[in-house]
Amino acid sequence: MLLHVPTFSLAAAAYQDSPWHRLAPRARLGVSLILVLGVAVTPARLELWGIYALFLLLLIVVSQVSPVTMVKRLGVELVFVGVLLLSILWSGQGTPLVSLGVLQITQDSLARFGGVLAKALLSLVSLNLLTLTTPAPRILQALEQLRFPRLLVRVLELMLRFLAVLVDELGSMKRAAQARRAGTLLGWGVAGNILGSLFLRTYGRGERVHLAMQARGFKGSFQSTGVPPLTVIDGLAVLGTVGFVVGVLLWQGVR
Amino acid sequence: MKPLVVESLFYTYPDGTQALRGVSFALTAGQNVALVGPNGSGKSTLLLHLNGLLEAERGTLEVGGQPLKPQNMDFVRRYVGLVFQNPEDQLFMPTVQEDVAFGPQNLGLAGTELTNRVRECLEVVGLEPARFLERPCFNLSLGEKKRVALAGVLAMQPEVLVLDEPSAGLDPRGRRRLIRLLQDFPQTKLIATHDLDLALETCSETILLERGLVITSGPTSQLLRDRVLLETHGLELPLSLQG
Amino acid sequence: MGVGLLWLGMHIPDGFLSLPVTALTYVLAVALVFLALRQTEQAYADKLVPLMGVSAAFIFAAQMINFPVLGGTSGHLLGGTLAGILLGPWAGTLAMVVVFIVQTLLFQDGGLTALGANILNMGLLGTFIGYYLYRTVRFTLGDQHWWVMALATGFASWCSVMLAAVAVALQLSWSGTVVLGVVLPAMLVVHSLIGIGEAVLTVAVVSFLWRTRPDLLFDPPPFTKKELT
Repeated sequence: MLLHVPTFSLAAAAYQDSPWHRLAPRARLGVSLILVLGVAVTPARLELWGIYALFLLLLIVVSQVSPVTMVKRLGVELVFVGVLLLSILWSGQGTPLVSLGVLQITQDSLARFGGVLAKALLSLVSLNLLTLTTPAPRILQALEQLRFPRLLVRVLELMLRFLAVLVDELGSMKRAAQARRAGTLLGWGVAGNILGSLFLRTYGRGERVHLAMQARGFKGSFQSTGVPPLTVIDGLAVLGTVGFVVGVLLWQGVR
Repeated sequence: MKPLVVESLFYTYPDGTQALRGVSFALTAGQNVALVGPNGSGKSTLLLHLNGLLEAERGTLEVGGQPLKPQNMDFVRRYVGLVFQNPEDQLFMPTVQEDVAFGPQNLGLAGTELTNRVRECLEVVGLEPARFLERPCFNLSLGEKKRVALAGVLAMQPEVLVLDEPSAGLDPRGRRRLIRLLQDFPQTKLIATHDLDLALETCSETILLERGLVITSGPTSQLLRDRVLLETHGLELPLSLQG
Repeated sequence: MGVGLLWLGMHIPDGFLSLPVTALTYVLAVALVFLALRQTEQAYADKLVPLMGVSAAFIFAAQMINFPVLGGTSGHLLGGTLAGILLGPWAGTLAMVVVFIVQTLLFQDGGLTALGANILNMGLLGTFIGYYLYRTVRFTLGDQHWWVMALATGFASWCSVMLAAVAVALQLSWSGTVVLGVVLPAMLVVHSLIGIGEAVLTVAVVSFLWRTRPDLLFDPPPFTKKELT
């Protein structure tokens, strides 16, 4: 169920070279976030989503991220949001289109399902573009450079690292439980103990990782390999994206 | 000057377990010392004290002639390099290159000096830079991970190298390679291990620790031949001496 | 519509809140985060930050695990009270904020425009009120026994879920999305059940820590040996 997490920490296309890769991580973060925000505030209309999709497609071509990698990652992520999406699909009231016993797909819910799916897809593509090309420490550094509160950045950084650890530990605990034939259904008490020891193990591993970092002279912040100053191109990329989002909004307002 | 002096060190964990109960020893420059003892004898706890990761409850520690204090932590962390038992605890940057660079970056290295340092250290541990620099850390083999972890510590150019169970989990060839590396490194070394054959081959002195106390210390060749002593303390004769 | 909301549970998606409600909740949420940052930085202990990270990761993962509630509805751990009990109200709020940010950005679970409301509902109500309810019950009944802690934890977690449900209903009705009279009773019925799941899971995790590492709780029980510093 949590299989996607390691893939998230994996910046598979981080070491290629392309105009997109040459943007400072700050600028890439900016472009991605502006696009997500744009998707969120854009009214649910097919043609507007089409324009966003084209824009994102253009970015994918420019960044030379392999479409296969992108689709694979999207697949994993969609399985993950799938539960939520399906619950929308079965939820509506109105003209029923298909019914399976108590469960009904209605026109209303189908439209909402499509809407949420489209928005989720567009946002995910935009964020995947960022995470595929930019290793997590760079993203966090960029957040710090953008004056995001340092404490939050550190918690964020540790959370992402612990999440990978958690998945590791969960996997090995599951195997150990299976090896002892612990059945499929666990009692509340056992489940509580599993959750509790999962927490402790993760904490223990986290403590050791932190110690190992300190042992190599870590003093609370990642040393950047020199913060590259923002170039004109970085500025243009961010401004261009803002222009695009505002342009789409205005265009649909005019019509 | 002794690079590392430990004087009656005490440490109790928050849950009340007494891990160290007055440990004293000193390392001579260039010497290799093995730290042996059964599980739970306090070996790992002791190692964490040596570069200031745990604060002693009582007792003193001197590193490179300087007392261990918060003010000279930078010096201490550079002087004593600690290689953790489980490389998973140590490797966390996305690629080999970045992980090996992590330590020297914290020391302020940058640019070509940094890249050269990373390449050198990878070569020292027998990983071709061309093949390994860009590899992601998570899909290396355990042996490779251990060597990257070692390179990451060597990159800080420590005077004292402290290793926790360096041979655990290695296959025979990996272990042999490690022994050769340990014999070649010029640094002063403290090696905590259950692998008494490795101790015999690499270390001139041995310290036997049990339940937070130094039971005895002396030349490895003598100490590890003493069957009665070893068996009383949960160890057994090295395989090469069983005959 | 009402049924749809129940399915979606507590995380409000994009497009459900009106502009004034969005703006107001954002302002309040930013103020809350700002205050929490100030408070936590003052009490900045090196030990607290890793614990915040692991709590956030844990709650993030736990929120993905759905448990079935009556009639095919599913709920999941919200974790606000758990964060409060582990980290105290301020640091707990920050851990929840980090969870929401990652969820919103990466998984589109809870909309970006509703982030402010979600932080208020589950951070402020879940963590703050949850924590103080727990504290009040635990210290009123005497701080010695496991069952007091379990009772306090369970009661606080259940209440925090109910409060959050009321808050969601109010925000939606103020936004003109739903009629309060229809949604509120429905939300309360479903969430009184979700709250039981929340209480059971929170008690399970906290009990485990109470027995094994009580020093990790924000208010360690009296039998804990103080860490030597």
